Amino acid sequence: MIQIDQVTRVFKEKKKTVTAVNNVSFSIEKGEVIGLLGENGAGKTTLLRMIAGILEPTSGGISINNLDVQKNPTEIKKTIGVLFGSETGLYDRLTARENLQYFARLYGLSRHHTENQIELLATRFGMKDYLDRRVGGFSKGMRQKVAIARTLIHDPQVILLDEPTTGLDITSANMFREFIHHLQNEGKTIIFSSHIMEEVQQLCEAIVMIHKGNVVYNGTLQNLYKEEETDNLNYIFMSKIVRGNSID
Amino acid sequence: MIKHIYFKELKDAFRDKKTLWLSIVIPILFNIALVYFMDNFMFSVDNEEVIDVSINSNADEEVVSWLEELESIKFISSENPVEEVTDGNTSLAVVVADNFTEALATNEKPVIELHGDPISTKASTVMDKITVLLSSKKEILVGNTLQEQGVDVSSLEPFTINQLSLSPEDDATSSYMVSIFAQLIIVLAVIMGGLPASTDLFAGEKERKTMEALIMTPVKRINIVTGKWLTISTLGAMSGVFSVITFVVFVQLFTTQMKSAMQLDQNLPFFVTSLCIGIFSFAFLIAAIEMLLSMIAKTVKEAQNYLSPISMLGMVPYFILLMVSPHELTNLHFLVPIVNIFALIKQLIAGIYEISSIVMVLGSSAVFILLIFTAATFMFKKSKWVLGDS
Repeated sequence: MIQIDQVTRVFKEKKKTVTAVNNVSFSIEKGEVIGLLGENGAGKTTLLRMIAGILEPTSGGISINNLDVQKNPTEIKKTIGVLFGSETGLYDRLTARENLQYFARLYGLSRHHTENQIELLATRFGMKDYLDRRVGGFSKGMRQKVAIARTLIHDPQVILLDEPTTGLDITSANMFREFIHHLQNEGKTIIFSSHIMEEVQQLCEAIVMIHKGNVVYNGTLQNLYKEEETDNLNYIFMSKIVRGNSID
Repeated sequence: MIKHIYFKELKDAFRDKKTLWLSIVIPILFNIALVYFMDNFMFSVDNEEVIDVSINSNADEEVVSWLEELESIKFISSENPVEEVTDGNTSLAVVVADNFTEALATNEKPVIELHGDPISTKASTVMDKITVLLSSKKEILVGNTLQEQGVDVSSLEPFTINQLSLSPEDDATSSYMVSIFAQLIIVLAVIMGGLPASTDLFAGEKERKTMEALIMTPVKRINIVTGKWLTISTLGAMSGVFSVITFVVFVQLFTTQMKSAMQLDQNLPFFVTSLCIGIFSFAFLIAAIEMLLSMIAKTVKEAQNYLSPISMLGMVPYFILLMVSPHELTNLHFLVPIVNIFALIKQLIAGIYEISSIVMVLGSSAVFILLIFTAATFMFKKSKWVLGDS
């Protein structure tokens, strides 16, 4: 369903050239939950931004449902829901409802469909009590729920989540993990980046490990445990980073 | 989709106290303060105000009696009249030779010195009055002398010079005042009105990461740019319109000098028409510039640093055209962006209606707006400018 083919992204800053993502290739099937593992600055966000079509690869190509992301941005964006960070992308001076209405209209939903979706998501995430309050005064947990609802307002088939639990308290983080399970049961394809190993172990069947822009592992967790003869993902991650062998 | 973005941005902006203050409250207060200042202080050197002038205590009595013919001037006798001026006690010092009358009788050409600060309005005013008085006294003396020698006095003035204003005397002052205020109002109100929104809608959205969520939607980026540009233009124009309304109402209701000097009753339609053309053209133009600069910035603070010089940019043409008569304006004035809007207002207020000027202003502004807008749209398609930190 999602095909990432030899993708490289180079940033040029003044006279310095930084390769954020280097010749990365992997594919994800429909309904899979993939964990994107890596340290801060490993290239996870850059890769997710390229999959979302808001950042152009320097070379290589990405396709979703056999549609090239760069050539068909409008079609691709209609099928993707993206959440960068746990609570970003909300307008503080608008109410939660107004935020959702705005994005629903940008995704081309009719008024009727928008109201139905807001009702559905508000019930699902328990947001009804504060739906008509301005987001500026919300707690982190409340904001996170609104941000997730915004990500799902157009019922996307592919969901990209970039470190969604960073900065959240334990209750909100657990609620979020529960939510990923629900989405998985609904058959959504999910890529989420994280550097929390326990979270990845709980939620993913397969992982893609990135180090300095290179893929150091791509496969199921079971195979990884077998390969490394341990199920301590923290230990595996560290040893992979030390070895730094990229797979081509 | 543009409409949807536009209305959302306006709603968002109106809920921002900073925008309300900078777009509406501050321009209104600024205008009131400016008009009050002009009415009470700039026109304060009127016939009723008495200005203190120091004069040397041993001054010739005849000269003192001449000077005392002048109204609204109080002469204060002093041992050192110049020091009185430098100490700030008087506005002007007059030093007259003590033997003035005797010296005059023996053709010794006695001297009367006037000491004043040329940048002081009061000093200039009394200096002019005293100079005119002394000149007339000088002419009378010369006339008397010539008459005594049997010379026809009329030969002293072989021809007459008549200085005539191009506009009726009363309207000239009025138009000049309207011209000055109209331009100031447009520049400051429109720039200040659009400033918070332009900072917030690009740099602010990048900083808060809402821009990322926005560009992930399937909306074309040109629609996003257009919606935001229209929002900034609307807020700038709205601020300008509020300023005009405040200005007109305040002048009509609370001023005396300004009201009579400007004669807004007669000039109101021209005043409003010219200001509307100026405000809307300038708002669209300045919004495009502000949008471009905000797009370059990664944070709100950075955007504010880039946008601050914009107010200076707006003031340059104001000062360039301040002393240019509407009749001296050339095609170049109407073709240079920003300058042309001031030129058009100046011309319209003077009652000169030339279609070619309006076409040149609108055409030139449209071309400039199009160029900036194209550049902004091009930039907005690049992740470097739209994501900030990538």
